[in-house]
Parts: sequence; C-alpha cells; structure tokens
Amino acid sequence: MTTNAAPTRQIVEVVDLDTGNIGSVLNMLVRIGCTPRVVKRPDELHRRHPVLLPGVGHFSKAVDSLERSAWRPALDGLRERDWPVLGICLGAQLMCDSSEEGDGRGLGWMPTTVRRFPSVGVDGKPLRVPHMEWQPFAPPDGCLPFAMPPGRVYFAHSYFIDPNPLGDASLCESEFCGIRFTSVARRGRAIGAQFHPEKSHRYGMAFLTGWMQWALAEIPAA
Amino acid sequence: MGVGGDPGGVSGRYFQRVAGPMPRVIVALTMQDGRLVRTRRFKKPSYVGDPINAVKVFNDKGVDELVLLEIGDKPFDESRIQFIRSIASEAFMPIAYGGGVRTIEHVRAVIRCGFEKVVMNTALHRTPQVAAEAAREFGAQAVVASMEVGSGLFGGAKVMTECGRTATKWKPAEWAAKCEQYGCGELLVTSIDRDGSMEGYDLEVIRAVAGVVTIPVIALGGAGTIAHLRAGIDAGASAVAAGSMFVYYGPHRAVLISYPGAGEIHA
Repeated sequence: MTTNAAPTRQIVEVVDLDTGNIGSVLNMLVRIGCTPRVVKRPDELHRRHPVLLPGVGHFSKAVDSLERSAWRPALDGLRERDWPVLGICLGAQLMCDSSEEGDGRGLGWMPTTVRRFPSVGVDGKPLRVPHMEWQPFAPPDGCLPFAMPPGRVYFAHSYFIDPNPLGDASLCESEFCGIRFTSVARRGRAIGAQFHPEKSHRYGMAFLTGWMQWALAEIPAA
Repeated sequence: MGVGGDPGGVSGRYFQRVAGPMPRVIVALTMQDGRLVRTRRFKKPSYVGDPINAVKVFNDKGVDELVLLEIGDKPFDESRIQFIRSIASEAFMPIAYGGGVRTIEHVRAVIRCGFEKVVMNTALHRTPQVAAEAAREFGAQAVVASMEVGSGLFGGAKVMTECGRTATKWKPAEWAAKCEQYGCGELLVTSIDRDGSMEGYDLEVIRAVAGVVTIPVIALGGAGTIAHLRAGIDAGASAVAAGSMFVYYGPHRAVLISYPGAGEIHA
C-alpha cells in the first residue's frame, strides 16, 4: 500500500441486503465525511475498506438475502480475515446465531440468541414493545476500541441480543424495564451495535467517526 | 452504572443502568404542499416557514424525534418524494413521514428516502393489509398508526379520517386495538378539538387508548407547556408530541423554534 497517496474521502462499503432503509446510514456517512459505497452483490465487494452492515427489517428476510445472494460466504470470508465490520441494529442481530423473530441461521459470529422482549417486565408491568427510547451511553475509556464522548443513543427494536452467553463479547449493555440486553457486541474487529448511530445526532456521528478511524487503521494487510 | 472490572482483559463490560422509561418528546410538523403550517382544530392553516430550515434547526437542537405530516391534497408522486428526501437528508434523528401514503410502494419510497417510520391513517381504514405488509417488510417499529379523534354527532369521541373531514363508526379504544392487530408498532393519537389550542392533551382519550394496546402511544394535539407533556406521560403515553409549542412565528414571520432541554422534561 502506498503511503504518499493524496488524501481522499474515506470509503465505507455498505452492504445492501435489500431488506430496508439504508438511506439514513448513507446520509450520515456523507455527513461525517465518508464516501459510502453501496454494495448490492457480494462479488462487488472491494475488500479494501471498512464494511458496514446496516439493517432495518425482518430477521428471516435478511437471512434469505444472505443465502440467496451468496452474502453468507462473502461475509464469513471477511470474518475469517478478522475484517472490520460494523453491524447496526438488525445488522448486529444478524451477527448472532439465531433469532426468535424467525427461522434461519444468523452469521454465528456472536455466540448468542436474539430474543423477543417479553410482554411483561421484571417489575410486573406490561412492556410496550417495540422499545423506542433514547438512552444514556457513556462507555468508559478502553471499553470500545475507539474513544467517544458520553452522550445518548437511540434504540428502536422489538428483539434484543441476549448478553448472557456472550461473556466478554458483550461490551456494552443496557436495560429495558429491567431486561438486560447487549447494546454493543464485539468479536475481534467485528462490532455490532443495537442502537442507531445514524439516528443519534452528534453522538452517533462521534460513534461512527470513531469506528471509521479505528477501522481504517485496523484493516488487515493483504 | 456498574462497570465490571476485568484487570487482565483489554476492557471492562459497561452496563448502563436505566432507572425508568425515558419518554420521547417529539416535534410534530404539519405541512401543506411542502410549506410548514400551523392549524387550529385541523383548520385555517397559516404559513409558518420552510420545513427544511426547521428540520435543520431542530437537528441542531438535538430533538428526540420528528414527525412530518403533510395535509395537502396533492397526490403522493415523484415530486413529493423528491421533496421529502431533501428533508430526510437533513435529519440525523429518528424521523417519520405521513400524508398520502396508501400503497406498499409509497411505504418503500418513504423508507428509501431515509425516514425510518411511515405514518398511516386513512390507508388503515381502506387497505389495512398495507400496514401489515409494511410491518413484515420493515418491522413494526417502522409503521405508525395515526388516529385522529374528534367529537361525534351525539358527543363521545370518534375516530376521523381524511384530516378530520370524515367520521368513522370507531371509538378510539376499539380502533387502537385494531391498529395493533394490523401490525402497527406505534400509535399516534391526535385530538382534533385540541389541535393548536395549547390547552393540554385530551387525557381521557390517551388513557383509554393506552389501556388497551401494548404498543407505544404518542400523544398529540394541545400541548402548550412542559406540565402538559408530563400529564400526557402520566396518562400512559410513551412519547409526547407537540407542534405549536415548539414552532411559532414572530412579528416578522420568522420561525421561532424552542425545544426544552432533556432535563426539563425528564426531571
């Protein structure tokens, strides 16, 4: 890799499983100074840039896309090389083994199950699902692989990543009516965020900018 | 907040303890043919300003969420899609769009623009399968049922459609349960009588609706003070929305925008 290349806007490859809204992720990437490159087919993946796996939608439908368009082997290939990949919301849930939302195997990078919020919280009160809430987010230094200022982030989900089987791979956790869930999971350079950084104002910008800079420095040599 | 120590590892696990639900405070912007307007009881729309500029300001203020409602009669066509796309590109917070969304193609177009929620009202009465289909495709959190409540001929609250022009046979609680069955993930409950009044929400309707559904309920119509917002939450709303309270215009028709800090509401 040449070191004297002219500085350009950093490219992020955004996986388009065609399951939902990637518009807001693209808007945010442009806003933080990146050039998003939408990748609709796995053979179009450059494998030179950080990879973002967004997702709004249904787990089974996303798994269908993984199988139908041969995304699964392509993404697993990235994982084998310990490539920096960021999954957002459903993208993070896809990194897990399976989901109570529907049939189909997740990518299995995070050894846990995605569960549905129960109808009653631990306090005995009914839970209003989907969980849609801004929550404080202030991981201490050294928790995430990149630094970000304390702030708040936006959650919108009916299913959650079960932190219990994850152990230390469950980096950050939060709770909804006493039900504890993983907000950031990590295995090597694969990171899954349950919240929506692309919808979390300046805090989301700080999260994505931090991830981007870290991911660029971490891209494995060919 | 408890941070699990892990002296040998690279990091400690971080747990964000959350004392209780933190209700969202939503800014509801009404548009007529792309112009920001203010209404009273769904009537007399008066020009307030440019929605793109307003969205920019609310973005800088760090609002929890925006809901854009188009009340104009023009069809949902390519020019409207282009226009709302330009709005969404300025919104780095959750943002919903409603107005003229009738088909699953409309839903897809709105989502593709960068909105993560689509608001439906009249379509739920005519073609509820669109909501179900949208929920299957994008998740329940992307589908907001809008329920506009007015007074029936013989008193008593009735659900209205077509921006308050047409009454239905439904009572709010019954219709709310239907919307949940259709797969909607959220319920926006607007009081037509309170619209623009800044005299407080119709708490009776909020209470009745929140009592029968398990999806989050958003109160809209009538909020003018922080106390009104709190009352809406106490009545069972998971989120409280207001338009006039946050957007009004001064002597020079400049849009003045105010949005309370999180501390003022969650205190």
